[in-house]
This record gives sequence, structure tokens and C-alpha cells, in this order.
Amino acid sequence: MPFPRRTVIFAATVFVLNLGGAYLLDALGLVEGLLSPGGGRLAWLLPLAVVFYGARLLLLFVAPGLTLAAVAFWAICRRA
Amino acid sequence: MPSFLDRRPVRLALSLTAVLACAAVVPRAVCGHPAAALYADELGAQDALAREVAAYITSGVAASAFHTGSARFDGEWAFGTYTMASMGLGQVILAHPDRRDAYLPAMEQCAEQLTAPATNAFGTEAWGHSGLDGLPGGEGHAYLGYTNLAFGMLRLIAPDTRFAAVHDRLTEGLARRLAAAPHGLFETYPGEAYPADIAMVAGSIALHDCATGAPERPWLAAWRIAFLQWLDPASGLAYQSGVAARGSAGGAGPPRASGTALAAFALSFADRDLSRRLFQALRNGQSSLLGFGAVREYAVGHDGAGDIDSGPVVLGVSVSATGFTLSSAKLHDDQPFFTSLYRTADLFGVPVDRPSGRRFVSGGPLGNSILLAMTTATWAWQSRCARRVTP
Repeated sequence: MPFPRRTVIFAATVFVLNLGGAYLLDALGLVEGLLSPGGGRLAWLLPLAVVFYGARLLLLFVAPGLTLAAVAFWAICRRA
Repeated sequence: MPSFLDRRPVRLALSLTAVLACAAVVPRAVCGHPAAALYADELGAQDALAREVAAYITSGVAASAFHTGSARFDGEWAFGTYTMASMGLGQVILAHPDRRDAYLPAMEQCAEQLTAPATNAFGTEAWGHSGLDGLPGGEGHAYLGYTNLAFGMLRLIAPDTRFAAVHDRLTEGLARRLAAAPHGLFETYPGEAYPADIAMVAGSIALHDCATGAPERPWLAAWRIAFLQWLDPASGLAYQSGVAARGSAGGAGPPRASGTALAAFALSFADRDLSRRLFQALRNGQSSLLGFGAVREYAVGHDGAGDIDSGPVVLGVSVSATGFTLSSAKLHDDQPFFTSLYRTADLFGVPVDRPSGRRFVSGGPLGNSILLAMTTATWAWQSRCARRVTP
């Protein structure tokens, strides 16, 4: 069984999206943008926020278990 | 590979089990991690939030910083930012007196802004004149209870503040209106009255009297009884709105958690038992999943959408009710509930650490000020009273 590279890359990606996304949205002024009357910033801030929250939920609720299982399978197979 | 792992369904089942097990443990540990330090009033946790709020206040914030589409709501949000910032910073000073010099200037700036015509424009527009003119006479303007509570906290921290005179006048004006209110309620705007705002008025009067050593108001006991009519007998939640002249029998808005949670915080300065009673109602309306707690906005049997008071209502729970209830969970010694609510605030608020402190990305100026005030709520103000109080 090969090392679960795709799973680890997935976990690393959502981690980077979560960390980088938080600082990016902070720098862009998420709340101020969402309340902006012009709506121009809303057009790109909203999708960005949706992607960010999706990554955050995946990072916290899915990635740990998925990574744990994949690495455990790999380790068990390697020992066997 | 062991034979049992050869089968794809077995691997999928084991993976799913691992995902569910980790989902039940990891997020609650990660998001709940800062809650214990905040609950224990630890300097590092409080100071990180306070530094960020103070930096924002001293950098200048105005009604023009908000763009909700309503001039009234923009003004109210700026107004709320100053009020909650002042309360939060004051509470940090109460817990850590050595931070007084760091945060007192921001508190004074809040007071300055709260008396500025621009900040009060939303109220002036509604009534046709400023609520701060002609005190202690006048009518309505119950939103000034928020200003008065911020003044009270400032007075507690700095008894010789230059805002002492206006604080005294405002308190007397609000006290006169509350004493004369036939059903324990007076208007915020013409034709609009809100029990949560009146709770703020009552709390602000009590905090003033604590700070100045004034004797307890003789009408306060009667007001407490009158105010009970604004609590829904079934759920215990406060009605969101009412008709001041007719009492609750004359009609009231639905019992809702956002107003109740704010009232529970405000009334902690005036009536500990009533604050606890409201907290119990909020606790009964809690909703929890995997250790993430929230508070349902509407009482059982009532339904509605989110609005400017509640913020978004998702799956029946509201942002405001959940955030405001942090304070009463802390004040009334319910650490598990506080922690579960904080986890939700952390998950969706998204805290980031910056050189100026820690702030919640999705909170904005108002949300960060509210979270500071709610997570630093304390009974320590009692020990600073000029006379002994037992709210």
C-alpha cells in the first residue's frame, strides 16, 4: 500500500486555505465588505468566504479522521 | 496487507468511523481551547482581545464605518461598538487593575463619541431632537441606557472623570422616565419600546448608583415587579418589543433570545436574581452539536426570520443570542455552557492574532467589541462600589 499522499495533500491544502484564508479575509475586511452598499466587493468576497468556511469545516471535522485512518492503514500494511 | 483491509467496504467503514470519532473530539478541543482562560479572567486571553478593540477605538470609528443600508442601524452599530468596547475594556481593568492606564484613554474616547451629535444622530432623527438635550426632562430615548451603562463603567474606573456631570444628569433623566413608566417600559423611538433596552436603562441606573454611592431608588422594587410582565410565562424569555402605554396585555413582540440575552447581561448590574432567571430561560433554549453550543432565537411555538437584533438565524439559532449569552453563562457559573458557546464563536468568528492583538475576522468592530464585553463579564464591579450592593 503506497503512502497516502493524496490524503496528506488534501489535509495540507485545507490547512493552508484555513490559515491563509483567515488572514486574507481579515486584510480584505470581510465584514466591512459584506456590508458595503456598492456590492462590488461582495461579488468576490462572498465566494472567497464560502471557500474559506468550507475549508475550515473540512479541516476541523473531516481532515483529522481521514488522515488518521489513511496513515494508520498505511502503517499497518507496512508492518505486515 | 492484512486480509481484512483488502476489502474496500471495510476500509471505508473504518475511515468513516475514524472521521466521526475525530469530528467528535478534535474541533471541540481546538475551538474550545481559549475558553478556559477567558472564563478564568486570565490576563493574556483578555488582553489580546482588549488591545485589538482599544486600537480600533483609538484609531477612530464612526457611523460611516457601517453600511447596513439603514442610517438608523449604521448609527446604532457605531453606538453599540462604543458601548460594548467601554464595558469590555472596563471589565478587563476590573480584573487587572494594572491595565488601567492602557485602556482608560479608549474608554474616555468611547464616552466622548457617545455624547457626540454624529453618534446620536439616529436617535435625534427619530425624535426630532437629541436625547441628551434638556435632561433630566423629556421622553423616551431608552437607547441612552447603553450610553449610561458605558458612563457607569467609566465612572467606576475613574470616579473623577470629566463625564461625571453628564452621567449624573443622564441617570436622573432616565430614572425619572422609568419611575413614571406605568408598565415598567418606556419608548426607545416614538411608538417603539423594547424590554431589552429598558433592562439596559435599569442596569445603568444601578451601576451609576453603585459608582457614586447613591442610595437605592425607592421605586426600583415596584419596577422589578412591573418588568416581569415583559417575560413570557411559558419560556421565560423576554418579549422582544412592547407597547409602553398599554403593558404586555396590550400586545408584545414574540419572546426571543437575543433581547433576553442582552437583558440578562444588563440586569446583572441591577438584579442578580432576575438576570439568573433570564439566563435559565436561555439555557433551556440551548442547542448543541458535537460540543458546539448555540441558543435558539425564538421560543417554542414561535417562529421567525433573523433581523438586525438577532443577526442571521440558522437552523433556529441566532448569532446575537449565542454571543450575548456568553456573559450570563460566565456570570452565573456555567462553565460547560460558556465553553460550548465559545466554541461556536471561535468556529465561525475565526480568531486571528495580529500585532495589535487578537480579533475575530467575521466580527467586525461591533462583533469584536461585543465578544470582548461578553467574555469579560464579571461581578468584580461590586467590590468597586461606593456603597455596599447586593444586586
